Amino acid sequence: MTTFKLKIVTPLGVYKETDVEMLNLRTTTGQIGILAHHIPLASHIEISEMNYIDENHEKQYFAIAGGFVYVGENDTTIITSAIESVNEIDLERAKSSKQRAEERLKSPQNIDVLRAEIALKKAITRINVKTTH
Amino acid sequence: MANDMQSIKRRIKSVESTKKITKAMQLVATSKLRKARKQMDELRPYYSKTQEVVSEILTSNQGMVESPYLQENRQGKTVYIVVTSSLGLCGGYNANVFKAMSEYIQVEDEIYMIGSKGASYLTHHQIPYHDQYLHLNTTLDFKDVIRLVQELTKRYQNHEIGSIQMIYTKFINNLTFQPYVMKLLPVDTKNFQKKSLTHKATLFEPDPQTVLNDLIPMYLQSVIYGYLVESITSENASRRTSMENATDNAEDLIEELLLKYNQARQSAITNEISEIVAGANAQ
Repeated sequence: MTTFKLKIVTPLGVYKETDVEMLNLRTTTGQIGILAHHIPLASHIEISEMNYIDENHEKQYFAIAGGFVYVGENDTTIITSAIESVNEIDLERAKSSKQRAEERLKSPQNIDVLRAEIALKKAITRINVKTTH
Repeated sequence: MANDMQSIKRRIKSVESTKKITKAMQLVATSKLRKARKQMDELRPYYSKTQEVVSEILTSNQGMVESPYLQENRQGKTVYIVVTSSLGLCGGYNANVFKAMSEYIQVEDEIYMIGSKGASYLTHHQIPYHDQYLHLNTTLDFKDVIRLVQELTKRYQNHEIGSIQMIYTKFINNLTFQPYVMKLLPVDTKNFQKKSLTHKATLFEPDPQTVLNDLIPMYLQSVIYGYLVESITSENASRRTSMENATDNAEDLIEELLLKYNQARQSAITNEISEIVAGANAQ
């Protein structure tokens, strides 16, 4: 299968630069799969699981904390504030942050519901990615 | 005479210990500078890619996209984000930022201060400021930047804020840095149109407007973070230069004092000899 270049950039630098066969991610409009020679596309990415099939036909899984995908002529770029592969996810940390977010949502005087919900979503995504793969 | 010699010796010792400190600070600043520059380079792809996509959307849909981030709210206040340092002894770094502040900021403007030196300056002049992000220059936590952008964009959409500006210190090279005032919001479309783009029909999912509205906060995060890191680079470069000068000055001073000490010692010896000789002659 033809491959295309995938570049993942975070504020801490280039996270990954590799050739992939297929890229799967969830945008605001739904799950999409990107193959080589896709037409140029720009879209927001949800806080979700992301995966790609690398040159060795192996599927790699990641938890992505929202971001942006830009598919160009020859290369695809993902811009995100944070991304973790299955191996990098700290399950204990994710569990405790899930608990923290849930507690915050329960407390009545909580003002920043949106922030707690986002934190919860990130934690659940991490746990799902870690436990299912 | 002996008294004089001792006081000179004491001064030499104190200057030497000062020199040791400034030298150590210079070395620390050098290594911090290297770190900050590295971070600046690492951030560049993030920043330039976001900018590229924003500019592509703006150019390919010229005049067609409407976004609250592109229009100025006339009635709202102006917000300034100001980056200063938290540590002193960095030459004119903070003073230059203060000069720019007094030049641009009006009484009714709001200030988000980063760096405790700036905070104490404003407290001294009895100017109110927001201090939630005061320590961003030491923590460099991207999550805080996201929080700041969230807060600002929300207030911008509620028309509380008319425009957002940032005062930071531009890093030109290791010896030159200058305070700059940059407009963050409304996004100045002129900045982007210089770039000629070869791209044709790009698919925007779901549509250019939504993509732009999602992307601009990300763009702001990267810009603010970028300027912050750049200011810190300037701060460390400034500290390194001033500490280098201090070390050099200390060396000059030591040399001068040593000469004085030797002269005093010599004249004391000469004095003693002439007394002995005079004593011997008298017998």
